[in-house]
Amino acid sequence: MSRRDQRDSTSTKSNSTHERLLRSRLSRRSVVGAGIAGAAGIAAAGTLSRANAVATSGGMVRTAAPLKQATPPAEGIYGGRLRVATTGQPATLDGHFVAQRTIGLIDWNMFEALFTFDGEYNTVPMLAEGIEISDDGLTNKITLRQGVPFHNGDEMTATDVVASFKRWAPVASLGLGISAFLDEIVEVDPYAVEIRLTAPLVALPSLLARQQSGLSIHPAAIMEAAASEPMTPEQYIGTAPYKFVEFQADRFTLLDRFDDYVGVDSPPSGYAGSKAAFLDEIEFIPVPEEAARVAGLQAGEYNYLEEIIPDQIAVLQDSPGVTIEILPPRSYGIIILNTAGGMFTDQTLRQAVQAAIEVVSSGQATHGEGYFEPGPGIMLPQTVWASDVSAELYNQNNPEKARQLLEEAGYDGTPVRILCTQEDLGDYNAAVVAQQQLEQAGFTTELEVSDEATLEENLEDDERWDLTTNAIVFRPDPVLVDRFVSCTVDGKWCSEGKVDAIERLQTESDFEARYAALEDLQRLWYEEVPMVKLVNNYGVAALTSNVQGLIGRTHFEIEPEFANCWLEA
Amino acid sequence: MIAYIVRRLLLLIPVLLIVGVVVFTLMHLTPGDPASVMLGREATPEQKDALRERLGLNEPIPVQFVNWFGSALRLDFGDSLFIGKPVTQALLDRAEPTGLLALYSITLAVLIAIPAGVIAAVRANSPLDRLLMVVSISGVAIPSFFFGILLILLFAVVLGWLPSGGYVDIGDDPVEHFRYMLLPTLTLGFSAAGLLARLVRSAMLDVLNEDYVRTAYSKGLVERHVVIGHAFRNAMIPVLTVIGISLAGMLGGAVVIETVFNIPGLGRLLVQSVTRRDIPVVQGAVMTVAAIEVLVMLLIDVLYVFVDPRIRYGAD
Repeated sequence: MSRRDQRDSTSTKSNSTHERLLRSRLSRRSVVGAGIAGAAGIAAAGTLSRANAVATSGGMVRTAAPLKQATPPAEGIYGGRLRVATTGQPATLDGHFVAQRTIGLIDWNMFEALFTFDGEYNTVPMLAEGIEISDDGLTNKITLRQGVPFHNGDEMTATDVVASFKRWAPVASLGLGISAFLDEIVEVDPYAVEIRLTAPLVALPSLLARQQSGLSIHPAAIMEAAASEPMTPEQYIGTAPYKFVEFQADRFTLLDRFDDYVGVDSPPSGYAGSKAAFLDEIEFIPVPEEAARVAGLQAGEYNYLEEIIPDQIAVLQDSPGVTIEILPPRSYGIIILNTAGGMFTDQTLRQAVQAAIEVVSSGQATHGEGYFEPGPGIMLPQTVWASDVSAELYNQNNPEKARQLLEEAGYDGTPVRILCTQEDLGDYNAAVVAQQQLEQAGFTTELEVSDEATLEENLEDDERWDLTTNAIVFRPDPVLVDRFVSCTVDGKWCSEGKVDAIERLQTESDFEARYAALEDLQRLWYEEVPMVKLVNNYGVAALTSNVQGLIGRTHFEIEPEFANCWLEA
Repeated sequence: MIAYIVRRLLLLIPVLLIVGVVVFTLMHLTPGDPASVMLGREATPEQKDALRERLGLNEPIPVQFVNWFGSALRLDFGDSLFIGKPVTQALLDRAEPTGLLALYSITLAVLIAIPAGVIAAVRANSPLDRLLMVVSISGVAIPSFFFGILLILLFAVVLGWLPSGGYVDIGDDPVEHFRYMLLPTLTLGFSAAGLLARLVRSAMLDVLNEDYVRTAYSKGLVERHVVIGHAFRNAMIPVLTVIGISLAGMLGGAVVIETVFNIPGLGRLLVQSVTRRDIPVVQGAVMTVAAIEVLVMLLIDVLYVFVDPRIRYGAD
């Protein structure tokens, strides 16, 4: 039984979603409340069963945190300040302009989006009340919840949504994805907007949902004042349960409870449902030094660490008052091959790289034994999109085959220019392991280590590099993965087949058709080898034991949200 | 004396000019694009280009230099690309933590090092001398980040007496301020004290072997008077120089200590600004550090006069 078969036979939830999606094609589609048909296939079939599964790797057995459903938030205790140690200080908290994990971690406690993801990765309304899609798929009418106040006291209306959208769409990568299909966005009435498209865009609600670089809704006056400049701290006004108080660069960002918050009246699930602001304040403190973050958690000064490297997990595991949770995969490592310049414009040479790579060594070097799992899918296994297509080309560990391919390609011993930075140890270690494996397979290599800023600049020059390493982080839908959708990110994978597969993923409303497109995309990934997939990396949450309402409720694999979270005395 | 001070202050201008030109040139020769750093890897070329345009990074380098230099002459280093506020303000915000940490640490170092160095010299080659010198060598030899982490583990994690890191403004809560500053001060002060104690011992040994010290003893002066009144004062010149160099280094930013203890000081700002390619902040910070170095060394030179009346500046 294939992985896909398992999914189909074990997940009644996904089947019901799927049936709903099929039904939605037959007539004018109207979606409110529980799930968005337009975002076909977003529901993560098997999500809960997978999340509950025991993950085994390298002899260690750890229980992944399940997402609980419908826990009423009334059980929490009000009060206290949650202190979150972040890995760095973002340049701005304006997520319209900058896509960074730390920005998402802070922003989505202050801001809300039209849609969000529930515990099963369904796209469900948040500030929207629902979406109505015309039969031709070109007109998307989004009705808004009424009586939702901004932190400045004004009520959110369609004017604010239109203004936010118009500022976001031309600059954010997700917005640019919509812009390619956009005819216009208009205010229909104070509580409804219409997004008119030139072609159907089935993933529109997902693209409008809460995520990194997603469309957060702000007052129109602020959007007009900020225009093409990043918002200033006094302009950080949203509708979420916490509101902005103070920002001091490299010191802290402070939020406090928004007493007038008006949320949705449904049980909490993932990022969706009712949200209670139990905490008086949330303080985000940039602590770039890993050892300082860990010591601060042990000392009880920080309640939650944005990131922890596996080496430090052992240090914390026996610390009193500290909880370590191993979570479902949060990302997977990739070797990026430059398809736009240099030697790897030759597909046979790229296939030789893929043949040479053995992924477990990479996982051990980057995340440590027990904190990763091999898997061929280009979408993470907890999503409905998991697929084993072309699995035989994954983790080949076949230097002999690589040598044959090198000979076939007429490889002349030109060194493979590997660019990496030690500022991201995971990426660096992956590059070092890849270098060794490529050398064993007959490649000549040059490892060039620089700081992040230099690396960024070098990667912009297609003639400057051949190979680099990075990761693809969790996304519930393939159209939300920039490296799939974009033709301009590092490596510039942009074959005709890939563009066609992405177009089908964006426009097909039938889940089976979309899934077939994803499998085509995965097949092309392994044939064209724009990237080589390494291992799925488990998420790790490190927090003090008095933090409640967080584990199992929010999507750690994307980033946690601190609504419905409280501190026990 | 006044003329000497004025002349030294005027020398600041060419020093800062040279430093400014060198830093500007180096920063613009160094690869790395602030727009890419700020927007991240997944930003489109159009987004990056728009940001470069907004930040004025698309201007030709000579134009950028003229603009920057003209403003710098008015002590306006421009706006931080990253923090979004004037560089001068960003530097002033960091001056308090760095300045106070330097002040506390150098005070602690002097309080430890001078008695230890003097006692070690007076009791040269005794077990006490050896003990003091082993401790002072430890201060120099143990890397400050390692010592800092050990202190954090003991006092913050195991005993829970002190915070592991962070900073509280002295004006907000003086008690908390001192709690937060105690461990970084111990770390930095202990490290500086090691070097200083060895230097005090060495300088004192030189002086204690001078004829005038023997004469003082032969006159029947008690040891305390000889050591403090005669020997120590003459040993102070090299000690003052090292104190000055240490203080200038600390004021320029104790980067490692500020990083380990998460103190938002000048050194951390400078290092972070280099990695972020926040060119205006790097330029402003380096020029500030250069000015601090010059001013502290001037202060030390002036103090020589009070320590050793034979030293005269001026009429030449």
